[in-house]
Amino acid sequence: MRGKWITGSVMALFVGSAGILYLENRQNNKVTKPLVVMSYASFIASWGPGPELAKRFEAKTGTPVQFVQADDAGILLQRLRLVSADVVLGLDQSVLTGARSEMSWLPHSAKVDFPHDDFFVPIDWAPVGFVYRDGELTPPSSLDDLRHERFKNQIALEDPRTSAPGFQFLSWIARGRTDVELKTWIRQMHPGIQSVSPSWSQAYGLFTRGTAKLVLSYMTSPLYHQLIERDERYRFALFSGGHAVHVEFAGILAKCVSCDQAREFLQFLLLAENQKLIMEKNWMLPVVELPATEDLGPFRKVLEAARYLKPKDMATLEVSTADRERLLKLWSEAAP
Amino acid sequence: MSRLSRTLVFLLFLAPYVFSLIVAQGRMALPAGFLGLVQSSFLQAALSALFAVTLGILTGVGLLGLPQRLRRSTEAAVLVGSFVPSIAWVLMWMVLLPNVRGVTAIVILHAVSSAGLIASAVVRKVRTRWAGSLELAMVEGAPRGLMWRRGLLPLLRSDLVTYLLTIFASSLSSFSIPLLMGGAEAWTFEIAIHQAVRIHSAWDQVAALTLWQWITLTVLLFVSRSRVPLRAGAIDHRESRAVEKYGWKPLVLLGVMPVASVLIVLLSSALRGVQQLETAGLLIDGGELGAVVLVSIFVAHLGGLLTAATTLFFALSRPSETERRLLSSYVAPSAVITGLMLLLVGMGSVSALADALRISFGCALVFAPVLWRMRWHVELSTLERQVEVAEIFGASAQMIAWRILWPQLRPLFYWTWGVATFWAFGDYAIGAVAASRPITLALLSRALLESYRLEAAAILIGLGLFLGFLSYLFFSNRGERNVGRKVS
Amino acid sequence: MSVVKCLEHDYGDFKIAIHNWEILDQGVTAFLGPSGSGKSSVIRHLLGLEKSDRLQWFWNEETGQVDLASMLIRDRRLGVVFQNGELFPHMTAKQNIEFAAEAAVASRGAKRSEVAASVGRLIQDLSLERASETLAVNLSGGERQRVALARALVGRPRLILLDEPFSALDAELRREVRAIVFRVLAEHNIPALLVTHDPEDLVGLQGKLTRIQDGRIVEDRSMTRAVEGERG
Repeated sequence: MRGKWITGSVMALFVGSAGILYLENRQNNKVTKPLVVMSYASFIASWGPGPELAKRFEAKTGTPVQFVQADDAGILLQRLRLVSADVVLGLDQSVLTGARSEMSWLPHSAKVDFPHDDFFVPIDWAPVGFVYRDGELTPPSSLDDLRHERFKNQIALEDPRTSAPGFQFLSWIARGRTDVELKTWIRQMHPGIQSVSPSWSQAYGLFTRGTAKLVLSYMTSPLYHQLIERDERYRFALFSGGHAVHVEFAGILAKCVSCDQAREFLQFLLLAENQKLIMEKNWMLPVVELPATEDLGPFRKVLEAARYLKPKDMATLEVSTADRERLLKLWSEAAP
Repeated sequence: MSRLSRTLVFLLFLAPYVFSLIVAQGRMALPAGFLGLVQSSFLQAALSALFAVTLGILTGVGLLGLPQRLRRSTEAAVLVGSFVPSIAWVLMWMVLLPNVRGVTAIVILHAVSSAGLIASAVVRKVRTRWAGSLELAMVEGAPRGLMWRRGLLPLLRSDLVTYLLTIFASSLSSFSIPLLMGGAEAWTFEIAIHQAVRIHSAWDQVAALTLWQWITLTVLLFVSRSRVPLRAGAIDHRESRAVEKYGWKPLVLLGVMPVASVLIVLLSSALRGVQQLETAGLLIDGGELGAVVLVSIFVAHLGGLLTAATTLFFALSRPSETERRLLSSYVAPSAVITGLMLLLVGMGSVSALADALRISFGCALVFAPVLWRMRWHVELSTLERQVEVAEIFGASAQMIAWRILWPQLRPLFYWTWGVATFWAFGDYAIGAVAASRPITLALLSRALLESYRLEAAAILIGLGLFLGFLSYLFFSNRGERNVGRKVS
Repeated sequence: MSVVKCLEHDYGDFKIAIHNWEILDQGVTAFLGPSGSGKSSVIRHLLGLEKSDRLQWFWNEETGQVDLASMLIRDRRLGVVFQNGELFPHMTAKQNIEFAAEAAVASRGAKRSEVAASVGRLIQDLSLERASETLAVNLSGGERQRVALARALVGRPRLILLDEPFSALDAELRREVRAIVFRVLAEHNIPALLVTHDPEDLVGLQGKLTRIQDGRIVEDRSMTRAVEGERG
C-alpha cells in the first residue's frame, strides 16, 4: 500500500512538473516576439539585474526581453551558431577580437563617455585586484609586493586561460615586461600562490572559506559582503601603481531578428537608473556618471576611488588574438 | 526490426561525434604537446583506476562484514559516493584539503567517487558466487586472510580487468574533477577538448581530440575480455553468516568517510547558505526555488527513464556479443560537444521545456553507455543461454524479448532508472551548454557560485543529492525484488 | 535417418571435421567422448547456435528430404536439454513447459489443443505434478532436468539433443532421472542425440554409439555391441 502511495506521489510530481513546463512553453509561444539577450547565468538569475531590466524595458517599449544563458565566451560563440539571439551581453575586452572574427555584428547607435567602438557598448566595469579580510594580513601595496614572503601560500588566483579576471591579471603583469621577464615574475610569485582555479567562483569560494587569505577579484567585491552580509572586514588592496580593469560589453548580432529593439536596448542599458541597477545587482561599476545627488551608499566611495582607474581608450583595453595566445602560452610554461 | 533498433541506438550515440566533425568542417589537427597530453592523461587514469579498484575491493570486504540490514543501507550510502556530483566532491576537497591539488587530488577524488560501485559489485559477486565456499571455509576454520588471498582475489580476477578498464575509461574522459582540481595541466582529454573550445575555438583540434579519445577508449574497452559465467539461471541470494564472518567491518569506513565528509561540508554550509538564499530572494513566496525543484525532479526522472529505456531497448533487440561489446566500449564525447549538439533539439528554442528535454536527452546519451558497461552487458550475457534455448523451441523474437528477457531485466531496468536519475540531479556540465537558463538545482547552484553565494550553492547541491538519493532508493527497491528467491 | 554429410569448423587451435555421420530418427544416438573432444561444440553447430564453416545436414521425412543446415534455429524443430536445464528462473515448472508449447504453436503450426493436452500428459509422465507450480529457481536438480525434458518434448521436435543432461546430478538421482528420461522418450517416440562422457549413461540403451575424439569421429556403431564392448 505504501509502495503505491510513493509511486503515486512520484508520478504526480513528474506529471505536475511536466505540466508546468508545458504551460510555460505555451505561454512563451503566445507573446510578442521577444528580444533575445544572451548573457551569463548570474546576470540573468532572479537576483541579478536581468529580470528587473527586462521588466523595465517591456514597460517602456512593450517588447518583452528573453534572457538566455551562455556562460563563457568560448561556449557562447559556439552556441550562437545554433541558437538565435539578438544581443550578447557580458563579453569582456579580452574576447572582443575573437568575437569579431567568429561572428558578424551590427553597428549600434548608443552614446557613452567610456571606451567603446562601433559594434560593442560597455555596460559595466570594475578594477581588478586583490581582496582580503581586515586583520588577517597586511595587504599588498603593489604588484611586486605580491611576491613578498608574508603572502606564502595565501593567494587564490584564477587561470587566465579560463577566467576573464585571470587574464586581466596576466596582461596586467605583462605590461612593460619582456617574455622572459614575465615568466621570471610569475615564477617568483609561485610560493605565494595557494591555488589557481579555473573560475572566479572557485577562487573566491576558497577565499571566503578561509583557505586563501587573498583573492584576485574586483574592487566592488567587498561591497557585497558589506551590504548583503553586513560584514565590514572585506577590503580591496589599492595599488598606487594602478590596476587592470575588467569591462563588460554588449553587442548586436548581425543575424538579429529584433534589431531595432536591440539598438534601443543597448541605449536603454546606459540610462542612469539602469546603470545604477546593474551596479547594485551585478556588483560592478557603471560606465556613465551617476547624479552626484543620488544616494549610492558605500558604492559612492568605491566610485570615487575608481575614478582615476577608468580606462582611456579601446586600444589600451583590447588584446589581439596573437598577443592573447602568446601570453597564455607563457603562462602555461611558467605557471605553478 | 531488431537490427533497425540496434542501428538506431548506435546512430544516436555516434551523433555527437559526427556533430563535432561537421562543426570542424571535416578538418582535424592535433594540438601542440599532444604526446605530453597522452602521457599525463594515461598516467592520471591508470592511477585513478588502481586506487579506485583497491579502495572498492577493501570497502566491499568491509560491507560483507556487516549484518544484512545494516549492510544494505550502508551499501546504499557508499554507493551515494558514486552518484554525488563532482562539484560536491570538489567543494568537500576545497574545504578539507585545499592545499592538495593537481594529479594527487584528481586521483583521490576519482577513486573515492568510483569506489562505491566497485564495492557494490564485489559484494554482489561474493554473495552470489562464493557464499557456498565461504560456508565450507567457516566449517573448516580457514582464516580470513587466507580466504581473501586464495579465494577472493582469484574470484574477482576475471572482473578486475573490467573494473580497472571501466574506471580507466571514465577517468580518461573525466571532466569536472580535473577541471576544478587539476590546476594548469590538462590531465584528461576532456579538459584538452574543453580548452580547445573555450580558449582557442579550435574545432579542428576538438574533432581530432574527440576522435582520438573515442578510438583509444573503444580499443581499450573492446579488447577487455571480461569472462562472464556462461551458466545462466537464478542468482542465489542466500544470506550467509559465513559471508559476514569473512568480511571485516572496519574497512567499511574507507567507503563511508568520504561520503560523510561531503555531507558534513554541505551541512556545515546550511545556516549561512539559508541566509544567502534569502538575500538572493529564492526563499520568498512565489520565488523560483520551488519551480526549480520541480523542474529538477522532472528533468532527472526523465533523464533516468530515457537512460533505462535506451539500455532496455538495446538489450531487448538481442545484440550480438560484438554489438554488446561495441556499446560497452562506447564513451560519450565531451559534455561541451554533447550539449552543443543537443541545441538542435527543439530547433534552437529557448523555452524551459526545450531546455528540460535537452538536459534529459543529454543525460541519457552520456549515462546509458556507462550503465550498459557497468551491468547490462554482463547481465545480458548471463541470459544468453536461456535465449538460445527459447530460440531452439521456436519462440519468436517478441516472445523472447517480453517473456524471457524483460521479466529478468526488470530489476536492472529500475536500478538503471534510479542511478541515472541520481546522476541527472547533479548534472550541470550538459545543462550549462544546452540549457537557456538555470532551470535545475545544479544549474542554479552554479549561478549562485558565480554570485558570491558559495554556501547557498552548497545547500542546493545538497538538496539535489538528497532528492537524487531518495529516487535511487525508490527505484532500486523496486529493482531489488528478485526474479525468484531461493528457498533453502 | 538423418545424415550430417559434413560438419567442419576451425577454431584455430581445434578443428571439427565430421563427415557422413548418421543420426538415428528412432531411438537414441549416443555421442560419447572425453572432455575437450568437441561434443558440445558439435551440438551447438547442429542446433545452429554457432555459425559453421561448413554444415550439410539432411533429415529424411515422409514428405522428402529437409535441409536443416539452411534453416533458422527456430525452424529446425529441434529440442534441447542442457546440462543445467537452463530453465527460465522467473517461471514455474508448468510455465516453462507452457512457454515452449506456445512457441511451438506460433512457429510450427502445432495445434493448440494438442499441445495443451501434451503439457498435462508430460507433467504426469515425468511425475511433475507436485512441482508444477514451483518457481524454477526452487526446483531440485532432478526436477529441473525433468522439466527441461518436458519443455523440450512438448513441441514434438524431430530430434531432441541431450547435452550431458545427467552430469550435474548425483549417482542415485542420475540413475533415477535417466530411467525416466529414456522411458518418456520411448513412449513419445522422439529420437534423441545423447551427449555424454559417462559410459554408465549408455547402459540398457538401444540405438547407436558414436565416439568422438579431437573433433573427429573415431567410432560409429550400433549400441548393443557398444554396450557389450564397454562392459568388455
